[in-house]
Amino acid sequence: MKKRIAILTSNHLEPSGIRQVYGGAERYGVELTRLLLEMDYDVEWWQVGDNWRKEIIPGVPIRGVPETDTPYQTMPHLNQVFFEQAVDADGAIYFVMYLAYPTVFPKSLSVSHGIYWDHPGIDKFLPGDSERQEWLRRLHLAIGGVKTVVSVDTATINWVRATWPILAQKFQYLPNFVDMDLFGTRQRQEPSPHPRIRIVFPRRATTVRGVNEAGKAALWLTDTQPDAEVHFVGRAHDDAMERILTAWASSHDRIFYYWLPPHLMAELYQSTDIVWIPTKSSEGTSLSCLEAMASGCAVITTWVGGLSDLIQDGYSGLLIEPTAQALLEATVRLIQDPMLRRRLGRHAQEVAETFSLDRWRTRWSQVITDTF
Amino acid sequence: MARVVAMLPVRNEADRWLKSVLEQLSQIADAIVVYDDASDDGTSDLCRQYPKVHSYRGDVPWFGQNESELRRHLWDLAVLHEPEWLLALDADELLEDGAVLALPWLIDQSDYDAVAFRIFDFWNSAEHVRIDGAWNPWNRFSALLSRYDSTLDPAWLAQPIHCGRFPVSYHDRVTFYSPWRVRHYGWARAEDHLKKYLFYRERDMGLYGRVLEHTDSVIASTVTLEPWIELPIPSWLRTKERI
Repeated sequence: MKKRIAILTSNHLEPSGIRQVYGGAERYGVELTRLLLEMDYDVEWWQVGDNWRKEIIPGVPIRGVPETDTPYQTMPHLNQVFFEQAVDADGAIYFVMYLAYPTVFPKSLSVSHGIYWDHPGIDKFLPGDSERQEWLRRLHLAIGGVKTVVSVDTATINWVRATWPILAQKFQYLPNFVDMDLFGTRQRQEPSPHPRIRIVFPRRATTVRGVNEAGKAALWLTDTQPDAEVHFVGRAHDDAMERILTAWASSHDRIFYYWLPPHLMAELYQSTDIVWIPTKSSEGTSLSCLEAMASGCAVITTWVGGLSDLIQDGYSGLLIEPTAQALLEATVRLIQDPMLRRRLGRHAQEVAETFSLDRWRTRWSQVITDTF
Repeated sequence: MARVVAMLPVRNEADRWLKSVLEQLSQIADAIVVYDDASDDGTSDLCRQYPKVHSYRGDVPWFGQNESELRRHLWDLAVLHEPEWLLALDADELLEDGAVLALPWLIDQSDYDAVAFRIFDFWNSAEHVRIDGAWNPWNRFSALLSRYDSTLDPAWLAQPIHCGRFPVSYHDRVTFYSPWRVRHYGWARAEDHLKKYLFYRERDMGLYGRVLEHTDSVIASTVTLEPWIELPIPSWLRTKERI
């Protein structure tokens, strides 16, 4: 009989069950599901939602549980419902580290997608010392309860090592992946066949991803560089913001706004010169960054979260402080120096091979076998 | 086997948008299956001018009486073409140009089984769209393109109107919510509004025993409009070979 793995996440779909957000964590979830199916496990997902039942990929169910409370940046009620209702499962994956509080399946692991408590708004949710202490207590229990925590970056592990040294042993560093067959196989045409310098912001259009800094830099850049065009490619956090961005982009020459399913990003990167990953917080080892690297684009990113696990400044990309001014200056530098642009792209492509999906699958297979 | 089969219910569309719709569908579909709901104008003649059209004409109109039967009939005819994907548009709906270019790219994958689009209702003109209340196009998507699966139950929601564009089993599929939009011209002519209002009012009374708020909003004294936003098409989208 097949073993069944239940996976608990907060929001793969939005709680309404309607809106799908194609962020990196969601794509990570899809790849993990595919791997588990190939390893002959049954898989079911659980998340916040109004008692609906849908599919995460064709044939794999995802259920919505109407528990939305987030005391101290945890979701104990969602955790409890999952613990009781997914009782048939042979093992559990807590797809967000804090979801493994207060109870865990005997055979379980969790995933850290990067430090999220560097968000400047964290003080709003943890306003005082006592709240912060209670959050830390819960996070400590969540990490301690599972057999293993898979971390996509070293920053999280090192934060834990500095905070609770003994818990660092729970962690395995398993950085994010890139599908080299999709992103890394095509030869880029050099010099570029299109007349403009194409710059892509391939992220969700949210503040933590630096959309406002990118927007400001895009305006400056298209104003001063007649050959530059900027594409914002990613959904916003709600429909109203997508309307605003659509109207904003349409009112500026050489600024575009749309989004694409993952398989089409590879097509876009083939004709992209520079990729912006101007993250301000809550970042692991960005899939977008890896995909742009694998495609041979020159990446400008920040030293936030796990991004410096991917990019060595001046060799495989440029690392900057997440400000509009720094983004603009780095971009102008790359526009004016096509040799540097191409060299960064070539090196990035080589480095990306060490983050191949094949390698990720092999290492995850071992973790799954060891845990379940 | 056909890559894309378009399904199109029509009734007396000759002097409306059918010509533009058929021209667009001829670009993107391998076959266009039309169910002509007993038209008595030049709709049949118009359809005959497009080589990809396979038109079937009913003798008694079903629309407004039994839409699910109409849709089911259209579906049965469309799947005879062994489609890989089915595109369900109405005779007053046009994909925006970006969507036409993106369509071959969007279906070339195995990650999702449906593609949804935002439908914008042009109001009293072909320049402005209605955005108040339930007309707001920005917060509603419609899955108009779906991968055919012969193992799914082909039963339709049994309602005289509003029965959906696909069988019930197709309603909750893994979907890509597309940034591209559909232009709906069904409300673009002010002179049509009263007639359409009376039509839907009568169906609401039959179906729900009351007139729905959305139906009443057709004749609202104030409506909120915004200009249709023309979006430039990224040049890289133009490089994919057409179907």
